[in-house]
Amino acid sequence: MAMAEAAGPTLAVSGLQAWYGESHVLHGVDFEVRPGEVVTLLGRNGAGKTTTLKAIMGIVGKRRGSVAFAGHETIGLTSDRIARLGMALCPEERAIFASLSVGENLLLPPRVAPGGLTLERIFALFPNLAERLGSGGAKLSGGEQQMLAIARILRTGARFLMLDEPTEGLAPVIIRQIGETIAELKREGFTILLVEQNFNFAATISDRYYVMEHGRIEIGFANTDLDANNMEKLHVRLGV
Amino acid sequence: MFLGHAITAQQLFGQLLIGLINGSFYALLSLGLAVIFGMLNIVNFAHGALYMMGAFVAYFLLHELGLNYWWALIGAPLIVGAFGALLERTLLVRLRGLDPLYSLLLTFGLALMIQGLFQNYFGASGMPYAIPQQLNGAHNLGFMFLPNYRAWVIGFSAVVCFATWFLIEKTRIGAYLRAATENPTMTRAFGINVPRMITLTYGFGVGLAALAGVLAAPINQVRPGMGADIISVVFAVVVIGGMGSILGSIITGFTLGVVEGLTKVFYPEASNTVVFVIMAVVLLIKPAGLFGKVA
Repeated sequence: MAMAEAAGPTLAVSGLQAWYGESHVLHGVDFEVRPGEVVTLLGRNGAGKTTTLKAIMGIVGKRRGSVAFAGHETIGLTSDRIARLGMALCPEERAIFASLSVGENLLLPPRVAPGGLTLERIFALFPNLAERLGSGGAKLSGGEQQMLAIARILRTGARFLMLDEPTEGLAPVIIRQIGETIAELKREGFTILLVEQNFNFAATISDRYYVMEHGRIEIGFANTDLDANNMEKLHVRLGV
Repeated sequence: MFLGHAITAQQLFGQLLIGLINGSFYALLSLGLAVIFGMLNIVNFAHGALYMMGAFVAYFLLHELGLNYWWALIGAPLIVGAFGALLERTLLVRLRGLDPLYSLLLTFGLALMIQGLFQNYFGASGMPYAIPQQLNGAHNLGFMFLPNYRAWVIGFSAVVCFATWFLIEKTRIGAYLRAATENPTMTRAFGINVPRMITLTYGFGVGLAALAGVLAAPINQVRPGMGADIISVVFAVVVIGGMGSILGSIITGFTLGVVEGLTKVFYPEASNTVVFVIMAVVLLIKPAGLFGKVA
């Protein structure tokens, strides 16, 4: 159910390099995400997956190359301008603000476009949050924090979401809930770039995969191409 | 013994009033410092000089433009706040991310320069600023005379302090501010223009100092040295309350003003040092300050 916008990719990354201070982390990353897709970046720890998301969002120290979002080149923009184009990041560390209540956390990100989820929809997806609105952000369990971190970017109207290891350290029942949420978002036409260590989780919702190694994309393939040959490649690279 | 002389009710309430007045200035000034420190991690040593500028702007508005006290109450914070925003954009921004010691030195230097410039042009002696006519006179409360202007200063300061606390702790803008204090990178990645917010926050904190300066103008004279006189006590207040704590700076400001006033009644010799003694004790027992969170 891709939206009826320009036929080009939602996100086109080419030759993306990124640095943290002196250390050169991304060495020319190339991939694209098409409208309505769920694309997953796989790879070992330190391969550059999180840095790729941060570089797309504009929150690494220095970045070079090209990141085109809905046809707009964003490499020269600051992160607040990039966010206002209609993308949002749910970071690995979740970044729930401890000095804000749950409700304030939820309402913090400003609307960047019309068409964000209403609070009713969000509470239907994450009923736990509705009961915890007055609590401090630091008082939530890991699962609730993850739900809040996803919920707060659904309100903003951003149609392109980057989720960094949303299942990390969570109980199976919560992982299932998050998987259902992502599937629901996909049905609604959201475009999602996912970073996951948990391949079995990613396999339930992804359209395509890219495997990263040493700050580059090594291989990419579609979910429909998950034959023995590609599984073997994954096995070699990820130990899946 | 220090209770050797009889203490009249008039003396007691008189000093209590002076304590509350000083406490109002301590609260407004330390509140501005707390707002600035919380968001920018800057120890703003220029605060006293900017407080003094607030009083001078009120003076100029009256004598050059014929704009009275009530206009100054709005105009001086805006003008001095804009000057602060300019300082932030041109100078302080270059020190972002460095050790707070650098911005402390820069603002200390700025304070000396600003005060020196005003002293050069206006001399060290004070210029009078009349109490606005609506606030002339006093009320007899039975146990003491309460000058209307002093009542106004205490009441207005309390309202401004409360409003600032409310703005930061209870509103959406405040949530942005707290979020940006805690994690500026993610806050910006949500589409919030954090650098602009930092500039405005500095301007706001400086504006509070200027507001205190306008309030002080009719009580003390308008003097280049007025900021330097008060700022060391204000820093002691900030240390006692805990750096960056909004509510802490307000409560500590008013309380220490009163403590100072009462000391003047019971043991006048210690009235100039009592705040610093309390600071030393607090630092020994609770190094983060009474309301400060341990980082």
